[in-house]
Amino acid sequence: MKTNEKTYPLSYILKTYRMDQLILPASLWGLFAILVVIFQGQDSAYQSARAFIGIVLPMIAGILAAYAVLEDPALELQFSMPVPPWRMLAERLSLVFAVIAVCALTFQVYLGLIGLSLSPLGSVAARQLAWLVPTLNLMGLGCVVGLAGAKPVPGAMTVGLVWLFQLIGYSWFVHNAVGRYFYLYMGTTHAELPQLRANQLVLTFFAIVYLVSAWALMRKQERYL
Amino acid sequence: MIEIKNLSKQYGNGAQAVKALNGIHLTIEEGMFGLLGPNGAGKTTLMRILAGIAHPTGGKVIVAGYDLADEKARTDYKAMLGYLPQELGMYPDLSARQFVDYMAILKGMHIPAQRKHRVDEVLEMVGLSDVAERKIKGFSGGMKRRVGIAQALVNDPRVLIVDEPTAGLDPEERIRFRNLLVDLASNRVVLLSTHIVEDIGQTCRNMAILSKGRILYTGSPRELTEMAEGRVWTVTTQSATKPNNGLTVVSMLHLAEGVQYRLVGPSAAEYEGAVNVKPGLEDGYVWLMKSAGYEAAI
Repeated sequence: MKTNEKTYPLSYILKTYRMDQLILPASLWGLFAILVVIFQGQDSAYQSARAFIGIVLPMIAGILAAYAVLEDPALELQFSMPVPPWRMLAERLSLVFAVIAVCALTFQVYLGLIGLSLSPLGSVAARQLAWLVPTLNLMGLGCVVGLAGAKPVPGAMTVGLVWLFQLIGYSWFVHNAVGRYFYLYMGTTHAELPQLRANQLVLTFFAIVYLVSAWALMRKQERYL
Repeated sequence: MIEIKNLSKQYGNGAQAVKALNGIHLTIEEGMFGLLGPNGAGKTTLMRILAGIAHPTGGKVIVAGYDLADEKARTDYKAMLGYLPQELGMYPDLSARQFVDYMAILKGMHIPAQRKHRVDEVLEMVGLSDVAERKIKGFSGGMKRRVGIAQALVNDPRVLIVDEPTAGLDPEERIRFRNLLVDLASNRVVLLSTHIVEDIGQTCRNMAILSKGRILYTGSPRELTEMAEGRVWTVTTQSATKPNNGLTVVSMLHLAEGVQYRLVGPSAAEYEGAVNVKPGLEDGYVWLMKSAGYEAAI
């Protein structure tokens, strides 16, 4: 009964997707959409818009990634399927990423429609990197810490703490010779700095390290049962 | 078909280390094989290792030619595996048909028409055809169990591993399910793990008893029963004190003339009216555990 034509069970993946993982980003999308309208004509509108795309969305992505693998009522059955651990991890994180990407892109379209420009962040590509890089980094962090702790909560809490620590200490991060390469929101708050590309490379490198570590942890399936 | 050599499994390290399995050797051929043991014996750990989910600390497991130490082999093997875990989690918003269909896709059944036919077939086998479109969240415990059985069968597995499958089933469902397993065992390995002695006695040609991570017995249920020959007694007494003296009370029944005890032990001759009776599988199990020094587990 096997063929090479693979059926990707997308409809079932969507049907079994926990709705609160969609509701959280959608609600914040709505909240910030209202805020930018309320503040329209003021600098706060731009501040709110870039904060949502470059700071809030990556945090949500990290928290959702911590829950992506482990919050599954049929986890033991899923582990008994002929699906390699890397594919299971990729499928689950891709879905979280897709939700965040749709939020980021549609919010930019919305900003365009109401006449609010994010051009101070740079070119169209630079604006995408501003949310993409911290999103991947925090997703990797949330996922790997969740898997290491065999529970989603430590992953989500670590993401929240890192996020908060970086927000509070942004001045130190920006001005410290080493810290600036680990600052998650440089593409959003200091896009003009010459170290931006190096910062994004370092953050992407760590995102890859986190994801590879998450894959290694995923192979130890019994830890999560 | 299944070859287990010197298998061990340890959880934790140092002083907190727990040996869940210790030096297991087993060969399981086609047919129905029962694994019996008290709670905490290591049955679920063994089932998870055989399902390719848990990794042994030591030893070797080869199933249908697949060495489960190798990740690629483990993944390939899972395509021909049917697994019903003890704690069965499901997606409550899917219907029974959708759930089984989803599991079929994950198991590599990619031709829609064939898959639909097989999903219908297994739902019929477990008696869920009439409610196939209903969401799982509205199902009783027994019905959920049947959905679990259907998904385990959907890929027509060569190896079927069922861990405590009759838990939560009513007597009729249990009988029906036991018969279904026996039917399926005609051309595949069916590994049934349970702590319900009756389920093994009614279905399995061969069995093993696991206790504290070690195999205490391998053989047929009949041979196990025979081990208790001459060691099972009934005693009817009006005394409020339970018979002891090295005897284990297997069951008790309140009658008009007093309490009738069914006892397993070397001798009950000291009790007036003690009658030596024909042993059952449960008596054989109790005698084995008792003679191996595991009475506390009974």
